[in-house]
Parts: sequence; structure tokens; C-alpha cells
Amino acid sequence: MSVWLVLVLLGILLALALGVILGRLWVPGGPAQPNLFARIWAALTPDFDQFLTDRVTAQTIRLLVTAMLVFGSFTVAWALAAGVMRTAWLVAIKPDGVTAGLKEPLWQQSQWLFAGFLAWQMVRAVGGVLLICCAAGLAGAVIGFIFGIPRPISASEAPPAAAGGAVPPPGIDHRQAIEAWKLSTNLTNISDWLTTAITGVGLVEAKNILGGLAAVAFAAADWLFGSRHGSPAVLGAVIIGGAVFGFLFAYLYAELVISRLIAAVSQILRATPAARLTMRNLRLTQSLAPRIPRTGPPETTERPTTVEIQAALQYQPIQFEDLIAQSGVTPAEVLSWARAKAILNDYRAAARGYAYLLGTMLAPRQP
Amino acid sequence: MNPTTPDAADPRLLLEASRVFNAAGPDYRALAEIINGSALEARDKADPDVRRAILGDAVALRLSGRVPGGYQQALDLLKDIGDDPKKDDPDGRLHLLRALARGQMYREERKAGKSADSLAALRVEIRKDLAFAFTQNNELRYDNRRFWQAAPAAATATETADDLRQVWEEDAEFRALVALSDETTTAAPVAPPIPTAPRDPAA
Repeated sequence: MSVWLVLVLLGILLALALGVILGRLWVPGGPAQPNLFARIWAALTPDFDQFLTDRVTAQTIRLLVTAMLVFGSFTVAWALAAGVMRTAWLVAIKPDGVTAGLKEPLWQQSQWLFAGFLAWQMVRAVGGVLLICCAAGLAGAVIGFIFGIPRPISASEAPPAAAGGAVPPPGIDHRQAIEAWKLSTNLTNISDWLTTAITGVGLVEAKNILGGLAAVAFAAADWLFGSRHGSPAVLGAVIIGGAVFGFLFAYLYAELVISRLIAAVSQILRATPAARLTMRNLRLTQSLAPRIPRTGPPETTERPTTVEIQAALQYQPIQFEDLIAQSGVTPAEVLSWARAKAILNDYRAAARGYAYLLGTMLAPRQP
Repeated sequence: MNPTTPDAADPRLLLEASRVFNAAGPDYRALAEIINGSALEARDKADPDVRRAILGDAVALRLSGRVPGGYQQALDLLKDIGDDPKKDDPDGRLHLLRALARGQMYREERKAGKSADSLAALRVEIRKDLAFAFTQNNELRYDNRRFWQAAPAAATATETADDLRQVWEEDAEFRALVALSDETTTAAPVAPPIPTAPRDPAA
């Protein structure tokens, strides 16, 4: 098989890959699955009439991922081309190239050997550049994650009651109400220290950091491409771009996604002491749930008051799994949760709470 | 109940739980019946209103056949309810349930061929219970008509709600007692349409 045929086949494969990428980018899709171009456009033009936090979060992440994909595509395209150019240079160079000592040109010695050599150079170039890009991205992501970890408001920072802060119920000291729960803040503290240190050191050492980056880019360009084909500039851009994208992605992910997860886990702690007290001293006794009737559906009886409904609503976002996953959750807290669910007519959820409560209370004590 | 430490033997908590289980759907029905049994055992420790609520639910479960025992056990449970309108049964639910239990008993005794005198005595007791219940809460007259007037649309395939149907058909005084203000009390036992507008049920 002619080496030119192999090259043509490689070209066709590359064209197909580019076609698929461009097709994903530009070919219109249906309304259910809009194409990448439509998604980029949607991300660039948010619909403020339907401004939903989740939607904007998804748009932000999607826009960033799209930009990262475009950046990655250009990087791979350049690496492929650089691999081909490096192969040509290695073959052509005299007298120290790969053809040194050969009586005939490499492609005349063995077309398969030449094709394999070309493919290897391309893989080497793409792999090396992507590895550098990913390493820079990871380094940026670590910093972005440290910067993006959400920090809970401490007791000393909480607004006083006079300024609209939470008012503890009668009989509960404000300090006790705040200290009644505490999330682990180890990671937050480390994040605080590192953020301060990185910012301080970064400002002082900015010049050295840039010099270090340039040195790394030059070294990588020398090792991978003999500093040819514009590799020092491109690899410098790849390192900076990868680090920036990694930082942004991790920062936004921590701010938009991880902070929500942390908030969701701490939802159990969101019910104010006043709401918990209302649930514990619930006025409703018999009519928390409808009576058991002789026939037909359960009968409706007395309705809860507005205060009771407002207290119950504080428990609305708390899932049963999150509730019992809390260390040290008390039977009283489970009962309050179950009552809140019953007030909100979510009897199936309430039943889970009562079943758990009765099960734990009736379970034989371990010696 | 101490609000900070729930107690599994607290009848109020057991009442709450059994009603929530009952309202939670078929998956929790069996649990509702078991927990109601626990509440029934602990009812002596409860306040009068909680005790009445536990009793009413227990009787309803037996009359509907979800818990074995039928009307006999239901009447046993209700044998001590008094007739003081102020403290014994403020909403009339227990008296209504006792009337339903006696209605089931009436049907069975009639089938067994009991004497007319004994049946008449039973009808008097039923009328007494219903009269007390209606005095406590006149809405019961409207909301529980399915128990004495046939209403195919109101009963599901597995549930029958005709506990007092036989009495209604055979007792003019009973028909007069349960008649609505716009009905002819001596009408033949042909079921008039049941009002569909829901009221505040209490039975």
C-alpha cells in the first residue's frame, strides 16, 4: 500500500472527525435537543423572563464547557499538525535526523515504517500537549476549588435581631440557638488560609510566576517539539488557558453546585428553633391527620393555623434521608419533621418519619 | 407528652401515628391498624379527648372489617360511653359509631330470626344513639346518609356502608329521625339521591 494512500486515509479520518464536530456545532437540532450552536447562543442570551437559578447555573457551566471544548479542539488540531510537521522535519534533517545512515529516504525503505512513525509522532504530540493542558487545568482547578468553597456565616457575623436577624424563641438563649448545630468547617478554614496565602504570595511573586510559566512552556516545547513549529508560544497558551479554564470550572462548580449540596445537607439545620418549638408543642393532637373512618376516604377535621403551616414549611425542603443522616438527630427532631410533613398533607413522607421514630424507640437496646 | 422526648407508649403519639399511617395509603394500612391497637392498649393514660379519638378509630376499624372482632368488639369498646352531652361525646362520633355497630347487629339478628321484641328494642337503642349524635352535631345527619340509604356511587366495590339500611327500611320512626328538613318522613323506602356537597364530616 502506498504511503500516500495511508496519508489520504488519515486525511479522510481527520475530515470526518472535523465534520462530526462541525455538525454538532452548526447543524440545527430539534427543540428537545438543541445543537451546540443553539446552546451557545442560548447561554449568551439568557431569557430573563424565565429567570430560574437552576437554568442560569446550567447555562453558565455549559458556556464554560463549550469554551473548554473549543479550546481543546484547537489545541488538538494544532498538536496533530505539529506532529506531522515534526515528522517531516525529522525525516528531512541532515545529518542527525532519523534518516541518518540510510541509503534511501525513509518512505522508500518501508512505507509502513514511515506511516507508523508518522502516526506515532502525531499521537505523541497530541498526548503530550493534552497532558500539559490537563495538568495546568488540574492545578487551576485546585486553586479554583479552594477559592470557591462556600463559607457559612459565623455566629459573630450573623445580623442581630434588631437588624432583621433570626430571633430565638423564648427560653432559648441566642448563643445556644446558634451553637445547637455546627457544620464541619475544617475545609472552609483551610480554604480561608490558602486563599489568603495564594493571593498574598501571588501578588508578591507575580513576576516570578510569569517567569516560571515561561520556563515551563519553553522546557515542554523543547522536549516535545525541539522548540519548533511555534511550540513555545502555543504551549505557553495551552498552560495558561488550561489553568484558567480549570480555575473557572472548579470555582464555578464549587460556588454553584457544591455550595448547594452543602446547603442541602444543612437544610435540617435551617428550621429555626422557633419552628422546631412550634412543631414540638403542636396544638393539633387528633386532627394532625384525618380520622380513620368507618368507610370511604379519611375524614378531614381541624385545620392547622398559619403559624403552624409556616413552621411546617421550613421542613418542606428537608428530605428524610438528609434528616436521619445527621449525626445526633433526636427523636424529637424526627417527630417535628414528621408532623410538619403531615401538616403539609405529605402523609407518605410523614409515615416514614413516624415509622422510623417508633422503630427506633421500640427497638431493643443493645447491651 | 414531654415535647423534647417522645415516648413510644404515649397514646397521643400513637394516635397521631396511626392516623398518619392510615392517610398514607394502602402500603401503611396494616401499620395503622397495629399502631391503633397499641394506642387502644395505652388509652387509659390519655386525656379524655385523645381517649375518645382512639376509641372512635378502633371502633371504625372493627366495623369496617379491617380489624377482626366486628360489631361485637365494637360494642364492647363502646359499652362505657356516657350520655352527658357536655363531657361524654362532644362531637357525637362515638354514638354514631355505636348506632352503626347496632345496625350491623340488627342485620345479623334479623337474619338469625330473633324475636320481634328483641329487634324492636335494638331499634330503640339505635334511635337513641342517633338522636344523641344529631343533638351534638346536626351535620352528621347529612354526612352519614350513606349508612342508611343506598348509594352505590358512594361505596367502593370492597366496602359496604349500609349498616343501618335494614333499620331505615323497616322503621318509620328511624326514617323520621334521619330525615332531612325537606324530606317526607313517611316516604316509602326508596333511596332518594344523597346530597353530594361535602360538609364537615365528623363520624
